[in-house]
Amino acid sequence: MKLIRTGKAGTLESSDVMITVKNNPANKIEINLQSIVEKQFGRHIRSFVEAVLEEMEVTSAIVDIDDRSALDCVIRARLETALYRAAGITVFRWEAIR
Amino acid sequence: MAEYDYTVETIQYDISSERKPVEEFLRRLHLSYDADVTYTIVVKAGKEIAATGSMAGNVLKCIGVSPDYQGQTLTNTVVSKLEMEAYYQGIDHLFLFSKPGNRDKFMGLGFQPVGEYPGEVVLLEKPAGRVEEWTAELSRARTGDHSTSLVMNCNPFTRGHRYLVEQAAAKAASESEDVHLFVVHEDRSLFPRNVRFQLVRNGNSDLPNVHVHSGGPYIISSATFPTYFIRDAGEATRIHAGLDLHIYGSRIAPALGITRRMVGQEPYCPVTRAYNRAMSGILPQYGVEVEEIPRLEIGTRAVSASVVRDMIRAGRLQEVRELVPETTWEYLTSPSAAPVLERIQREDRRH
Repeated sequence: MKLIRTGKAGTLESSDVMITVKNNPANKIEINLQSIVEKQFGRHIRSFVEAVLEEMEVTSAIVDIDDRSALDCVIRARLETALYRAAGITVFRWEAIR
Repeated sequence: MAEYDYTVETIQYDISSERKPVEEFLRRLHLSYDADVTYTIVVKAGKEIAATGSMAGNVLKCIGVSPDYQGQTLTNTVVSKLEMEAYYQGIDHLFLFSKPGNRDKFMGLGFQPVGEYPGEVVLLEKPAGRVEEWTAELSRARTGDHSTSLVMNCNPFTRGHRYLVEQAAAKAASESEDVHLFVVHEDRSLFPRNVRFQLVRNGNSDLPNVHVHSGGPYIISSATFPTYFIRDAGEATRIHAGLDLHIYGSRIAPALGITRRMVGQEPYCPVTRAYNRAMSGILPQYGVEVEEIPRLEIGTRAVSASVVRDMIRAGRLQEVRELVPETTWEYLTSPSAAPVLERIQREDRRH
């Protein structure tokens, strides 16, 4: 999946996450995580986000994450939405989305 | 009250019946509802306003939460909504005005401080790191530990500006230093940004120690100094001028080794006068000496860009000739200036 513009999804409400993604000119994955549960789950969130990116076949992205202690399913939903917006995809193959 | 009882509404800020309650709400929090807002939301608990926030271009401001509903969550609601609205408008660099007491709350939402006027206001930005990137780029033009600087809008570049640049260049040269000349980036003046910039470039190309830079988003911009562009000479101007100068002192001056800022005395505009006054109070704190230079006078009048615009407005273009350098005159009499001149004559605004 190629990111052609900035994609953003989510909120800063408690238990949610706001994710902004855009193409990385350095052609790699860069994750900037800010989380109120960074100490407890920072490592898990990073690897989870990396896994979703890999699944979506994204190899070049800057991912800014403002996490308010979101569950994995929420992080996935927000990240996928942000990626689709960044890729300019508006027709979803729902059955392909986990 | 539980979270699910809140509703979020967009306010038609130009309709006074919608605007008034927001104004009233902010006043109770000792905050003002600024004239330049372009988008406002309120969070309501039942019929009562519990929180509000606004956007002016890419600047989030006038954010307030009622003491009855204090706590993180409503601030988060407001900022989320504003951030998504900014995203839909295609804005990817956000600023936020806050009282210093709320700085940490917004830093928890991904904003990083750009600069602070202690006790008055702090300016934050998102994504973090933009101001560091910008000043790192700027510092590539650094030529030493001492230099002189000028900040100008040049709307358009006149012999008054040229006189000031010459004074700065001569003074800097006598100490074998350089001059960094910043042209205001914000495109809210009658002469378009690229024209202003080009006229400054062309008008100073013979001065080898003068470097022309764009002021970017951090010097007299709608983020650092919004009242500069709305020409409001009240309390807000004092605060914004202070903020702009603290950012200049803490971010810009160290990047280029600036130790002197020269400024022309302002004969006409109260906002610029207030700015100059604040300058001599704040910049020395950062090791930047401020020097005010009397304006160049031709005949009995101080040469200023506003006088030039007034002459154009009155249809007396020929009289402009002696007030501007040859390079600016060439532009004014070229076909490409015609639409700009027309606009000046049509629009009755000061700036």
